[in-house]
Amino acid sequence: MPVISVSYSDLCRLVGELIPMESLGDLLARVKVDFEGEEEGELELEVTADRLDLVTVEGIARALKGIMGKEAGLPRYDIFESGWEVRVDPSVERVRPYVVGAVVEGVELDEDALVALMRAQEKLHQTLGRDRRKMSMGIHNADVIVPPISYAAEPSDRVRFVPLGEAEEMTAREVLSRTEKGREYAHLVGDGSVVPVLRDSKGDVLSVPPILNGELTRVTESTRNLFIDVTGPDLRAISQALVLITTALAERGGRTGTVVVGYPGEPGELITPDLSTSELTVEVKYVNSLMGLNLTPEEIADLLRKVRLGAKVQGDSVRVLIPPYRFDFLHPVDVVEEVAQAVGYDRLEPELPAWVSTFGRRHPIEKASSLVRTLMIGLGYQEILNYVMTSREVLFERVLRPESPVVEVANPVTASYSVLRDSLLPGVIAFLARNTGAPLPQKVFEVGDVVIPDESAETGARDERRVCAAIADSEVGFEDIQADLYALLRNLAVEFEVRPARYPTLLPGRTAEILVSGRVAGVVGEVNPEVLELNKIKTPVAAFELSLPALKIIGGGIQ
Amino acid sequence: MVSEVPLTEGELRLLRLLADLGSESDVDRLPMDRSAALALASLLSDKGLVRVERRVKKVLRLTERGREALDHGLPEERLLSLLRSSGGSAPLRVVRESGLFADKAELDAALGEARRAGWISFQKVDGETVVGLTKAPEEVPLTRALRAAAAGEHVPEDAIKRLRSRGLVREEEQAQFTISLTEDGLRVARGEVPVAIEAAKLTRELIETGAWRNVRLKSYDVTLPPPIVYPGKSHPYVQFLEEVREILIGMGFEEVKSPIVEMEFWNFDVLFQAQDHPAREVHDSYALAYPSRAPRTPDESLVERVRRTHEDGWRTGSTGWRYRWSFDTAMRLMLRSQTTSASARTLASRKELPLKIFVIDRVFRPEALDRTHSMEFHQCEGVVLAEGLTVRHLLGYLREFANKLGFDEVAFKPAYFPFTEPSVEAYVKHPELGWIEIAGSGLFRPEVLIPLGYEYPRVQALAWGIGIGRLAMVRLGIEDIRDLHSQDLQFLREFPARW
Repeated sequence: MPVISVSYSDLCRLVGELIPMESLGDLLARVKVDFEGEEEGELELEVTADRLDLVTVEGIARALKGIMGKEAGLPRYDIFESGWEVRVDPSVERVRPYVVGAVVEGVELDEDALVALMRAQEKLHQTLGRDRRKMSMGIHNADVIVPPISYAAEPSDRVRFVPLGEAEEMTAREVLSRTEKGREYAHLVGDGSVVPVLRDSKGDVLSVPPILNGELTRVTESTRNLFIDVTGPDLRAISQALVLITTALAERGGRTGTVVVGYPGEPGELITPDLSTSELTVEVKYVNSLMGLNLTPEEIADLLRKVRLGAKVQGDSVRVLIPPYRFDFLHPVDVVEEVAQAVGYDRLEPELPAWVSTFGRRHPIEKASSLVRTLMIGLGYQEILNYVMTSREVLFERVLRPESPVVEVANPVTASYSVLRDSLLPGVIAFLARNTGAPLPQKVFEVGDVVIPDESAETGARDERRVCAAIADSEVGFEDIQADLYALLRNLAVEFEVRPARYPTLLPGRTAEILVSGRVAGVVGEVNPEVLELNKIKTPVAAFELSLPALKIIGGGIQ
Repeated sequence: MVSEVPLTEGELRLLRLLADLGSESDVDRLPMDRSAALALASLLSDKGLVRVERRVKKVLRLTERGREALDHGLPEERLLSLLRSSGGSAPLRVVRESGLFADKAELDAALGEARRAGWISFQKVDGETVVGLTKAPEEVPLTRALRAAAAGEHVPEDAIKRLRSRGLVREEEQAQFTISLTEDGLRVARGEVPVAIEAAKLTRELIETGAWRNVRLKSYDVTLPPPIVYPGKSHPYVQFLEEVREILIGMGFEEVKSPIVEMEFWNFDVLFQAQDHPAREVHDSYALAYPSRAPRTPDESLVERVRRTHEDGWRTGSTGWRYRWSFDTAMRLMLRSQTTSASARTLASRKELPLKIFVIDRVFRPEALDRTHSMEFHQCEGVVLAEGLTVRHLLGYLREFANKLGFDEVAFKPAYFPFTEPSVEAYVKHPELGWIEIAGSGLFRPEVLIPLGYEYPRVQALAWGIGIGRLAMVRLGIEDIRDLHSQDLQFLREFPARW
């Protein structure tokens, strides 16, 4: 979820009222903004991923004005035809194919506003732009630009300009290697031999997107008229970004001028930004059936206006007008949420549906596990809990098991947690290795899932619930663990057979397999001293591991 | 001095041992169990035969981190040996990516220690920071101190201070006891005073033979503490999860499960999470290197309905996400990142109404393990599927569940989750921590329910999910998330079973 910083005084100025800090959190919550904290007049806020219109302070102010009753319904925007044109050259197709633009006139940019604008730009780059990959935006002083503007791909050695924040002219290739932004975003322009460039009719470089603007069009506190370009590989994302930024600036009095963007092929000629509204119709019955309320069409329309939507009652339905900066309406259910939000969840009386009568039940695997846990505890064992994720080192090397295929993640954060355990015993031995100083005897057990690659399973691997127990003591042997194992199996009413076996982790001659209906259900034995030494365990250890499904104790009985 | 001294066999044995050892001894040097010797000494002291002197000694104990450093070397030592093995210097990037350090904090500590000691220096080479050895010692001095501490040997005061400040050792007080014979005691030990033997234990033999009538049964000091016993018991976190399970079963919910290795289809696509949703990127969920693709595909007609719903909304009344949905992406395998996959599978396979299900299981996300983050944690999720459900019923279940978990005050805020609409966050008031977020919830979107075969809006599904590990930490008073999977046996043994 995006976290943003906004100036408290700027927010209050935009709302047109000093909102006491104490009531700010509650008000913000009602417009789905989470108030995280305040430091020296800076508010830290968290907004949700579906509401990018709230990553700008202007957007938050717009929403607050609605919920506070200062303004209602769709915001009105002044739009004019700027006469500006952006001509797209076919060469950009393979570099960064799409561009849209807008002119904004008469915007008041003091220090707060300028900071807010830069923050909005950055936040949109991170979220909607996926760190400029999907979308990047340039904001320029329009007064130094002579339209029309061209958008073309050019050899980076031949693009010369003074980049924003630099003193001297350099080529675009130098920008990629010598400036901070250049190095950070060079990977977005392929090998860097060709870069997309926006120039005005004088041939001056406005920007090399998505890297850097030119110093020429720098925006300062005295700038009143802006030109905004948005470029990227996704026409929908860049159009949305342009709408978000121009409607935010409109809240500061900026008038939006449309720009004609001419493409050589598809999509032809575009007029941007597109600030038209869209529509959805919801039935009053539907709203009430989801909310559990009895609202009249008029009440619903009023509530929707509070959350800055347009609403017209049409018989048993409400026609909803959605402002251009809201992209989160896919279905009438999204309107229901707006109503719920406008009412306020704390004003809805919670209740339980009397007609929903069901019977609870533990999952059979958990039922069997619980039985096994009770018995192990009765036998004096302390329960432990390990992670399912582990390393090949713990799973194989340190217990002398030969490597076998295990579930492995493609993007581990560290090698320590990169595979899923296919056995519990290695983790239990690792646990004992960490507790060599604790008083003896140490009797521990774990009940948990292992994950076994299995071509016949639907997802190529199956979870198996197991129990593993171990005793570490100055003197402990096969017969000690065997006695507990037999006690467990007898009490689970499992009929089993035993045969000698060899497992590299366990001591040959003191290792046995447990068979149930002729299939191996587990293993018991003394831990191989070589394993003990590898793990710096100074006492003998005896252990067993059993598969609960193989014991056939899952399901059946009183469920 | 009385004519006859009543003593048990054990008491007499201790007196004689002491006489043999020169009439006094440290309790730990006696060839008998420490707690038994102390119990006997206390009885003898009451009889004026021995004196017990108690002194408190400070001993050093290695913490878990200390033991780790002892096994694998201190971070700075690992840094030095890395530099040595790479010819005396290495780019910081290589050091960072070496995998030798658990996290950034540990790496920073290693770099900081080594630089303060003047063993390394930093240089910029071609715009890259390079760490180089300057005059590094064969062995880091602190390691010597750590080893001495582990062996119970003498450690200089300043070294103790450094070990402690780095959290490698903690000081514990240990009581030491010296037992010495009084003059009377010495005489008894030498056999100069007649002794009447008391029976320490009432035995089967004494009872069967009736001999108990003729022996003196020794009086015990019943106020003395016994040796510590560690019972077999459940893990506190497992016990907590069991209690949550019990609450949900009591509320009429049935437990369901799904595989840990899961298709993206069930984890995301069925839940109407677009294939370019950020939660599906590598830093938010674990992709699998092996196995990587599901060998079997889900029901074809369900796949088709999900595809259409993503692309253009199908018959759901939604616009859909308007992109080309990829079957290949949906069949990729991952580690379950949300328990909602289990709910989705259940809703797809069971068509009975009403249905109330819950899941308590592990989910996996690519996070570095530290105090507040874990690559693996439990989620608890519930779904109520029935006709005629509303947002108010959702709030009703949330309030009921929160009350049963022991929270009286509940508040709700609007929220956003990809598969529910409307979406609500539930908060509860904790007496010390104030309002804490407890659950994310909502009504399943029509784009989720309709492709699964439910008649929306007549049928609604209320769903909520809880990061149950965080709640467990609040309830158990645990501040470090790693303690939920504690590797410290004493921590588990001493954790009370009631909290």
